[in-house]
Amino acid sequence: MASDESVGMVEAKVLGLVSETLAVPAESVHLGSRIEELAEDSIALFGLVTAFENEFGMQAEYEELMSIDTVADIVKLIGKKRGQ
Amino acid sequence: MVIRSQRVAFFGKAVARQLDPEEVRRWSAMDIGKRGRWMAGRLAAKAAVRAEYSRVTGHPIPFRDIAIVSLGDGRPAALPSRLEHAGRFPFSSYSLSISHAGGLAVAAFAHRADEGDIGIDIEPVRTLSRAFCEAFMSPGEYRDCQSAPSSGRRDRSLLYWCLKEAHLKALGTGLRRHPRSIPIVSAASGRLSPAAPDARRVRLRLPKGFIGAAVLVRHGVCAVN
Repeated sequence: MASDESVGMVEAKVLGLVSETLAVPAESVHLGSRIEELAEDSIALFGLVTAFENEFGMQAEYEELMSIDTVADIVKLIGKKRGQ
Repeated sequence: MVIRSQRVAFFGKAVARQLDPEEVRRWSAMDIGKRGRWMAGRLAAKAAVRAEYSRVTGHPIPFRDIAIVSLGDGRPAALPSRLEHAGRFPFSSYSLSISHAGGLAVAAFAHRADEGDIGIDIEPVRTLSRAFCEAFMSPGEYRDCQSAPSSGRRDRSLLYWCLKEAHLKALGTGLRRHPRSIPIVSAASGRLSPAAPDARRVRLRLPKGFIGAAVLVRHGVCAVN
């Protein structure tokens, strides 16, 4: 189904972006991964947030982005912002 | 205020003697790859607390009698594991901040009424991208960085980050509040410090390869807009 594929594509993109931005092996990143545990330090965490803002054109409130706990939360937020 | 540091190393089971019972449980359940970093932060924090405890009370305190806990807002705090210490030293009157980066952990411990709330941030020396700098700095701060000699721009931009992050940690928000909301000013000498009148930068000495900052935020000082 188109919407499921879309969600699946978003998940894959998010997982890839987290892996690339935080320099973490792709096999170590999954939807349940906690962002704070993947990010080596505060610079990495802030860099991830700005990467998502740029990649997905998200106009989320900064506080909303920084309150994200897991990779799955990022996917949900993107879906919410896109009205899915 | 006391600042102590600890290199991340392989800490064997014997180091568990430095931990209170709850910390031992946490250590045992932790992923092995994360233990070194966590323990380094714990040891740095306990060393800072012990130094101040000994100075104030004239008594020693073993590391395992100092519990490092996390408050509701995510800030660390030091508490006594044994009642005998609680009566001697006002643990709750102190502020604690811990930072880890690239194999090093640093902790700062300050008396809240006398000095303020402390925040500390250290980073391994590295180049921040232009996009990253423009995201966390104000336009004026970015211009200041760009006007520095090219050999000093890398460290100056990192120092801007460390000052903002240290200030945010002292306020108890951490990165939940945007770094751009914490203005940093450059004195005529080029020295960077927080613009807020209730905050001051504290001298911090670090090993080569690290940049860092410590900021004290005093209470009861009115900010002038």
